Amino acid sequence: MTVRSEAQKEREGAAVLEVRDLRVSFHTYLGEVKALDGVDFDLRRGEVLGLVGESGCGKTVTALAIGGLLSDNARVEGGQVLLEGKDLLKETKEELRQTRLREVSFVFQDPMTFINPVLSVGSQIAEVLESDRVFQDELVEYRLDELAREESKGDLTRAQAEERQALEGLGRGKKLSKKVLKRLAESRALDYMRTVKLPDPERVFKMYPFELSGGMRQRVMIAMALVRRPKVLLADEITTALDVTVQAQVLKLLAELRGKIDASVILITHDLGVVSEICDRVVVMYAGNVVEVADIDELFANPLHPYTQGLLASIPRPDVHAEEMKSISGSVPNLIFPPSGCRFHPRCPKRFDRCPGVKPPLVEVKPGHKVACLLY
Amino acid sequence: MAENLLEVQDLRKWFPIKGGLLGRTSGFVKAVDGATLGVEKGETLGVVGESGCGKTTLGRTVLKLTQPTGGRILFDGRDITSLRGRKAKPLRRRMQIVFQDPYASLDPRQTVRSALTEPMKIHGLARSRKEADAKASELISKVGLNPDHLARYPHEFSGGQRQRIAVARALAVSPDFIVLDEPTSSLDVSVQSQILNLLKALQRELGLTYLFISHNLAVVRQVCQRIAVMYLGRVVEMAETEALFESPKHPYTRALLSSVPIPDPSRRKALAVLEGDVPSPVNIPPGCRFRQRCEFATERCSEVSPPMKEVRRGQTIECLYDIDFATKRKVELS
Repeated sequence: MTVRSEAQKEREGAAVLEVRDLRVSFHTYLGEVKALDGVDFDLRRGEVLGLVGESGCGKTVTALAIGGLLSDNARVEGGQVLLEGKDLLKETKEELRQTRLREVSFVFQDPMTFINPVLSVGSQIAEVLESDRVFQDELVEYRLDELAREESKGDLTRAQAEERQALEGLGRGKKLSKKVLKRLAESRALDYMRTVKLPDPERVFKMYPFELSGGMRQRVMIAMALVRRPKVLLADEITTALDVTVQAQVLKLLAELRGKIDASVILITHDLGVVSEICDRVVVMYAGNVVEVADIDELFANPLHPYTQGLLASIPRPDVHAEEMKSISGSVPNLIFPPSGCRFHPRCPKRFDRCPGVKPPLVEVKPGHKVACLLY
Repeated sequence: MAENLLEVQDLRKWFPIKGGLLGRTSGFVKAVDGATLGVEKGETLGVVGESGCGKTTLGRTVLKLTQPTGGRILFDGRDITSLRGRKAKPLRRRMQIVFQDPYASLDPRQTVRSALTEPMKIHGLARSRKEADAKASELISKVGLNPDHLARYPHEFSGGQRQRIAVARALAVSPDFIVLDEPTSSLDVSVQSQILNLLKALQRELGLTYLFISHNLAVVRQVCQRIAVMYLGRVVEMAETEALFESPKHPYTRALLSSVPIPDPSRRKALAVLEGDVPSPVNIPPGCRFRQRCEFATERCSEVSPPMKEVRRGQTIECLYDIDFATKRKVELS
């Protein structure tokens, strides 16, 4: 782990989430898969951080480990996941449930797998808020704010005035009736459906997932994740299943949401086009290791790790034609028997005698630019 | 202009929707609905479009893996539209396909040797087992693997290697024409370019003609000489690759191209966003199929189905207008 001075921390902006030397393995009947081997990065407040790499590099496992959602055959071998200083890996099941409820939200690749097909869209966005009393005070305040805004525009109707009186009369922590809770939750759900630009939200509220297109379902997932106002949003390949024109709509939405929401975002993707479109910084992963971390412009202009260089050179670009395409020889290694030393060395065009023996540490070679390679 | 190896005229493939107790046909999914295109000998023609536009159905129909509902297919000058069964067999030797997912397209219980020699046996291309084995060794080396791999089963290979095997199997009968249906979509980028380079090298060496179906515009730009853009079952624009990317003429092509993110933050631009979704291929709106999402649509677009017109040499569109996207001025095409 690198030791950073106070001044450095200041410059980098406060980290919401710090992942430190995270190691995870899976037990399978073929052997132990060493999926994460010392993953280390920070998520700064308000940023969109890209987590990129090819399939099997550990991007999704990293996200699942952060949310405590790893499958039963996974074991966290070591490391820390610090959310504002609190280690999520040490939390009990109930504490983790609370964390996922209030602080860390997920959006996954395929909305149909995560949306309940027999509940209407609106009611399942609202359900999250009704499911736990922790949202009660917040919902009351939210509604009171809304009524105050109405009032500043003009007089309240009699019903609205009565509602406000009733809500104000409630002491903090006093239980709302289920009916009132439901109404408040639904009104906030509708609000977030507007935030994610679902067309005709009042009508869509009552619709079922199968009636929506892929892009609309993904918007529903985003609304469901944001309605709890999380500190961290983990977005795992959220545009991969969408067509390019719909992907462009969702990327535009994410760009518009920045500034409107408090959440810092980890965007997991294999598509470097998507990354360069919306991320501030990028973490490049290979075979369970972080190999490079840099600002987006720096990474594309000046990639240091041979894997990053190979990856950038091998993406076909829509804006230029190349007669012969570059590629990285070989394929992604089997993580039951990962290569010794640097896990990239068997495919690396720049390897030298020390590479198979020494695991390169992640070092900061320039302010904000870290790389794990013995060349630097 | 080179001669067309494959010609598709007004091709239609409708799938009936059966419903209810009696299994009556209640409508049709018009997957391909009047597509016209030609593939020149020795070229790679790209077919691009979003999911549901009919590109895969088009590929399967020209190979006669499904019977077309209407239209004509000519292969090497011969009408093959209604060829079936035994009569189609000589044709099948000349036309092959490589599918998207090599995990599904290879039989898990068949060795690589058997997968490569079986098509030779069926078409009588090897006189003896020895000859077939020798051919298999040659094929496997051609796709960048080695003859030791012949005795293995598909599960022993990575995705990229499996796709090489699928390519070798297609080549086993020495075809002239191969439909490549999203051949690299299930592969990682670092491996994808290996396969694309292989396909290009094989084409040069063997004089193959490809129909390259893909949703990835960046890939298509690297491998195709010409491109057909499909929307809701029709080819809405066809042009040489550079002309299409540099100056698309159909509003849909333009929207499609500008919604692809470029992997280079120094060229970060606001992505042009096409609103709405693709209409259902069951209830296709009359007139131009794209008009509801088109910013240039006029009254006439809802009345007339635009015929295919040549706007520039070698560039045809199905649009009533020749639009200058910079100035937004449009000239009606006569």
